[in-house]
Amino acid sequence: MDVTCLNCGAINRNTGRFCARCGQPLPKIDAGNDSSESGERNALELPWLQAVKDKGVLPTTGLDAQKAEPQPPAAQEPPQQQPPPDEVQAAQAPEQDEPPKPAEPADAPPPTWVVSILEPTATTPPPEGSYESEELAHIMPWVHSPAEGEQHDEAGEAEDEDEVQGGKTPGLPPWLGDVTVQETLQSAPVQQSTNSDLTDFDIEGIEPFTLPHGELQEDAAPATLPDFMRQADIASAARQAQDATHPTPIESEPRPVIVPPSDFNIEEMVAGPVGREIPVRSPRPGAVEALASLLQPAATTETHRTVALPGTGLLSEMANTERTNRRGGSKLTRWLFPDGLIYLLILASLLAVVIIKPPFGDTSVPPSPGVTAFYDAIEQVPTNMPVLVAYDWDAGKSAEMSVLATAVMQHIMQRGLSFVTVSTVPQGPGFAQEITDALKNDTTANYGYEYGTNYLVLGYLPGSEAALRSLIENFRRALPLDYVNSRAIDSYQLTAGGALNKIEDFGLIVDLAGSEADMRNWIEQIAARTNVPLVAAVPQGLDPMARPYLGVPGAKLTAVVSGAAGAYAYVHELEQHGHTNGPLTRTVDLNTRLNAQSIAALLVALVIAAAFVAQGARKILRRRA
Amino acid sequence: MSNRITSTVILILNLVLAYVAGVISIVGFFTRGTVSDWGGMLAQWVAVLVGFALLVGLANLMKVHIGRVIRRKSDWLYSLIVVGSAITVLALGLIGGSPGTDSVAWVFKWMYQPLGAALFSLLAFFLTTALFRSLRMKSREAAVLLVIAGLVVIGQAPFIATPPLDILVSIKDWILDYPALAGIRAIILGVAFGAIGLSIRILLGFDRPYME
Repeated sequence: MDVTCLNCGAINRNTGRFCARCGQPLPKIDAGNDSSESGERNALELPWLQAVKDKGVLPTTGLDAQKAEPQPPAAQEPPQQQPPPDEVQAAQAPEQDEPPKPAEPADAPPPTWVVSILEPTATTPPPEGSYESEELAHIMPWVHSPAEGEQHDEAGEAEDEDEVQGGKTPGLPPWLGDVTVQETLQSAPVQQSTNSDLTDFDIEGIEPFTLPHGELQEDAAPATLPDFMRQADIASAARQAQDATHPTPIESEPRPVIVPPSDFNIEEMVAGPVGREIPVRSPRPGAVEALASLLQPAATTETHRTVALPGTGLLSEMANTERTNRRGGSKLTRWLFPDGLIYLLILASLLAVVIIKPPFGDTSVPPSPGVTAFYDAIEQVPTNMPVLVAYDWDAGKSAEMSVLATAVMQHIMQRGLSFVTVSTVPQGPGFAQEITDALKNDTTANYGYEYGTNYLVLGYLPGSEAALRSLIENFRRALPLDYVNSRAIDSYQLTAGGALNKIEDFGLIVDLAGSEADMRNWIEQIAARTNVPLVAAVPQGLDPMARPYLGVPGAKLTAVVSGAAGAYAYVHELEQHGHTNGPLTRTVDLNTRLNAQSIAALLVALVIAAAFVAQGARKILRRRA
Repeated sequence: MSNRITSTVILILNLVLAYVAGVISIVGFFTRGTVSDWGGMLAQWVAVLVGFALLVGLANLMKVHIGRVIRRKSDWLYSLIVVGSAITVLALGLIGGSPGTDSVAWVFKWMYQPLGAALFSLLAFFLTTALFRSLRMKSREAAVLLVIAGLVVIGQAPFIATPPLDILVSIKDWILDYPALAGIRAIILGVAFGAIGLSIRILLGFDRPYME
């Protein structure tokens, strides 16, 4: 439904709150609105829609698609639970007196998809240009049920999943029909929830989306609920009124259906908690799933399904119960397999690194062309030109980036190059100050650097790409103050007299980037537009993202060093060229760090192998069973 | 009627502003001179606006959490810690006269940095269990993914550089240099083309995110 703006007359969709043309607030459409209310009532008058709802509240014996053939009503079902269509229409008679919705008359034929649901056996002539059934089977094989045969020939995995889920749901593609958590929970009968097959559900730990507590009542707007959901509210509310102790949503006994009083206040009850229960019949294959089952969680009784209306925490509760039921054993066992075991392995690895010192010996990192190119890039900077160093990482990457930055800064200081640091990450200036202070105060190396004379730590530059672009044109206008003393950068000797005006006054840009976006911004906005060469030091996980730019003439990225292994190789490169007086080579035990990294790599490989073994063993056991 | 005219004028004004700013930025990117200077000035405005947005964000954060503390909502103690931390660091910076004063540097080095690193290190547990679980999805793609991931992880391990295990390093390098590089370049190009298309739509006024 469109909404007309009262201000400018523009027609907007009703999902927006403001006019797309003039920006003024749009008039609200709520339950009290006559037009919307009449629209909902008119929608109820559609006979085919009413028939859908009638089918949706018939008694059921479960939601299993294999058991979804037409069944007689349950014996204990009260007759008023499934009124004949005539009675339903008579009950709706007062509403039908209202003027019908002009867009869709009451005698309009139902849409094709509704016909296919109501009459699954009915065949309609294919429209012009549509596919033949054989073509459709080739294009969308999932539209055929498993009984048709072809899929049975497929090996192992699909069959295993079918066993768990009780057969594929015809009409739904595999990505929707096979592994959808919510549907699986809905279609699993309660008897199977204690079955050992369900331990292989393969979706452990995944829960349906639910809103957090506290937002339920605020978000469950009564006006947005369709009428057939409000019926659920009535039934549930009346039952709650009779039974103060509201049972859990999952029950094993059929529950009597309570007819609501005629003067029941619908809006008042809808405003309450939104987990409701209504009796329904089992769906035909591909029928009710498409209309209602996505709204309704697990069918656990003979005659009832629990309906989760928007904004309920019921799905989460049911998922937890399902998971608890299907995962037998004690609490410790459930925790141990597989999460606890993996956690214990990680803990053991950490302890091994710290206490035992694994016997990997001195690591021999192979010579890397990236390290040599990086070293050469710094060596080629003229001594009268400063280096611009970008500290673009946060605390999460400090384990790798701190050693990399220390190695690079050590080389710059050993060469006696002046430098300026900038950051496009808020935490960057803190790291820049910390590392440069540590190097400056290293009495053994004694680089003799003075703040303001040999180097400057400029602060955080917000605005990512746009901010970097502003550096090109006028450096001091983009960063007028330094980070350490908050003084104008003109007051320092390094930049006094307009010594540093723009990016091209620098001899090299060193990007210490912690994320792909930071590195890409420097390449696209700075290096591609200037003639200043760029080198990057990145975490090891970012190395594949840096390679596409490496060696590309326009990008001007000349070298990349990554990870703790890269820092280790860089220090070796420094030592080979006689730079042995840096703090990194003396105080930081890179060998221990790399041994820890080796342990972590082995652990990951072990977990992967264990996953393959577990998967294979499970498959073998299942086939034998 | 007058409201309608006003809103139309506002719409046209917004469109013209967006179009002019976009064209200046694009032309300034490829040229040097006056237009490029204008583009740089617009970029500096962005930095200033982002700075103010951060201030607004801080004010909103304080308002929300102070409200939670006053109303004693659930977990209000955490809100109290947030408010207290923000005020403390802000006061330290203001008293010291700069964000790089020793007290702020101390907080950064001995509080923020260890906490951030510790939080990030928790990912090791979740990532490792995710590795295990990804194979249990029973898809062949997951299996291939895990095999490749295992090869690359082992190939990057420092101890693997010694013969005869160094063959894994070659395998890792081949994976990174050819299949991975091709895929990443394709993704980068695709994203770039998408960004170009989106930019053109915004410049021509088909999309108006600045009016929402």
